[in-house]
Amino acid sequence: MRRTLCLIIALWLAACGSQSSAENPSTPTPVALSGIFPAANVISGWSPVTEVKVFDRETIFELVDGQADAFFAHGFVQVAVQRYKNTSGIQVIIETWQLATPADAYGLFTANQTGMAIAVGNEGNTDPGRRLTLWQNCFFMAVTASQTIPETDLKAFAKTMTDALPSGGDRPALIARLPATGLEERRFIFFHEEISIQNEIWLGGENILDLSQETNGVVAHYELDGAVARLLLIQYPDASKAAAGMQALQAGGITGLVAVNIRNNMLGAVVGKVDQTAAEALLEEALQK
Amino acid sequence: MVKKDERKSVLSHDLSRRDFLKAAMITSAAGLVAACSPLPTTKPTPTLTDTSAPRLTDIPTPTPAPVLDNIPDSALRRPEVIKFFPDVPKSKVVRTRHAGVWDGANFVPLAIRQMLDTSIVQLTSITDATEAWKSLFSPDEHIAIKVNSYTTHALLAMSVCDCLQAAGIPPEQIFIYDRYSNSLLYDFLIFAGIPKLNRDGSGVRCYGTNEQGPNVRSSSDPTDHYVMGWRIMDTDIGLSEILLNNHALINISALSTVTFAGMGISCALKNHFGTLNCPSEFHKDRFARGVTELNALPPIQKRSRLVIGDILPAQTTNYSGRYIIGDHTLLMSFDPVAHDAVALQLATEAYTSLQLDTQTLAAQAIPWLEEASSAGLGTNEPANMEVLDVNLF
Repeated sequence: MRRTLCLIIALWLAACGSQSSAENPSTPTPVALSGIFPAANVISGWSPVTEVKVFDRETIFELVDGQADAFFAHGFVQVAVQRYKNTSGIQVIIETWQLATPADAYGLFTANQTGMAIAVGNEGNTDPGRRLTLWQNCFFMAVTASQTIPETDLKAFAKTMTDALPSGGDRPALIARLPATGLEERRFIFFHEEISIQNEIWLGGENILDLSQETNGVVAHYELDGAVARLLLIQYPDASKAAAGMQALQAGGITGLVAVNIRNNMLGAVVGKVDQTAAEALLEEALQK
Repeated sequence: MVKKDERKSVLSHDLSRRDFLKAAMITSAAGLVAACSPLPTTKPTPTLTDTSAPRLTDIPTPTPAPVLDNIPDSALRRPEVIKFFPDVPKSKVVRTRHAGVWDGANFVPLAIRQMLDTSIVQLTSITDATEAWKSLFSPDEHIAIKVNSYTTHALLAMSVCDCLQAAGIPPEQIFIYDRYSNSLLYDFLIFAGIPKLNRDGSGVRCYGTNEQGPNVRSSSDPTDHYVMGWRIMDTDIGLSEILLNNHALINISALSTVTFAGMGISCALKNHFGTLNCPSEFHKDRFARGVTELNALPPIQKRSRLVIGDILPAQTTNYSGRYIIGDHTLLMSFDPVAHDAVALQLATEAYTSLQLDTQTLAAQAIPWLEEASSAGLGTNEPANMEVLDVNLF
């Protein structure tokens, strides 16, 4: 218990940019993640297969096979990976990602929502018995089993890990702007950069909206009169950039762009084969909040 | 809110990011539209050899063949049976689907073998599967199998080894490889229950061009086994010694979407980024030309005998925006470009099913498919392809 408490305090002090590296004051200090993984039989019947492997910005390429930029866009700091095996030979892998901010952790979490909600960490998501993801503070975690295992085991891994991580972290305020009516459950992504939404909205492969780590965005699926629409909201540092973003969007020849508008530093747009009136109403509700 | 179960969902399974998504079920095959050409009537399924389980290391040869050293391109042959556009009017791509390839989270080895043998019969038009494999590979040859240790299923590669052995190839003359031994060990073999590598022992050989990595990235790393001497665009590159030490090459790739890297999809042509020493030099704006020139290099082009696409996962799964496409399906072709064009079509179908934006895939993938086609590596024109659909089970 004492060890766990010390670990949490140490992680809390180091996490999420509360300290910065001497080389780059804007880069959060990687925390020592190796110690948070459960030892053999802490989760009954499960033992580590290998040592914990930690990948940083220099080595993440070897873990994610060319996908590193996608994680950099979510404020990647480091990821620690540990594998476990039970007596039946079933394996579990745990990835614990440290991101720059809680908003980044939330963003990576939203990009991975594929199952149902579960109460673990700040928010969790599970394909029961096979996979569990969660975010807490500036950490995103994925626990994945090679075959179906008792859900209690997945939860036990997650609980042990979250107990060892600092608590806290709020959803980005932008999420509260999403109108509830028609919103597809767990079908939205919080992001900063265009690379994070290429599967959702094709913007021509160029950064026409001037998206960066300075911008917060969300793209969400809505059902409007039986058709699918995507609502895009982008919060810029100032109103002039939002206005420039709207001009770029209107001039960009974006397929299916139905509605676009700005309110102060907020740009909103609706894309899809949907009724324009319904799209404009959805957009107006989001911008008014 | 709209409940998630009101639409098709992406479920994530299995172990690790790489193996994350290697199980389960969605994506109806009925949605697969053979846009490339009208579908011909398929030929009878070949008689199958009883293969109760894949075997990587059983049937050792009493006197294992030595590892060869840098076989010159002039010593390579191209079997008569290998023909694709423009040598013939249409490149064949066989698309074989077997609904019974999974038993829960486990592969059914016999089903995989059935898919492979059916595919090779369709591709070669030789009615006996063993004879079809023999038409491509001879017992005196050494054969490299390039896998993607992140996504290729080990049991598929092992089943290919079984097919080769049934055709008379000694197991010690078969070399499964990827970039790193460690990634093969942890992400490829271990999930198949074979947690060991085999550099020079009995049975099928399996190891990486770099014995150490990940985390060993220096080009001067003594455990790197790349041979320098080629050039892509303005960059001097090295190729895997394992490739160069073999007469023939089988390319087994999986299909995933890589929009974040500007490529749309990753499949057969991209698989050889694990054969050269500096793949990161050819990403983004340099990808279309880089991947084309890489696949056009004589050591790769002259060894290439068969392209196999692993689209075996029972469902498409999402890992942080990377979608690994699955539909109980195997692709097989001699033409890597046509193979990838059909793979793009499958990825597009999956994206449509998941209500994702398919424009991204097309906009990113078509330029490099066109470049590869223009360079004579194959065809991406539907009019020049013959897509053979086979449904088993």
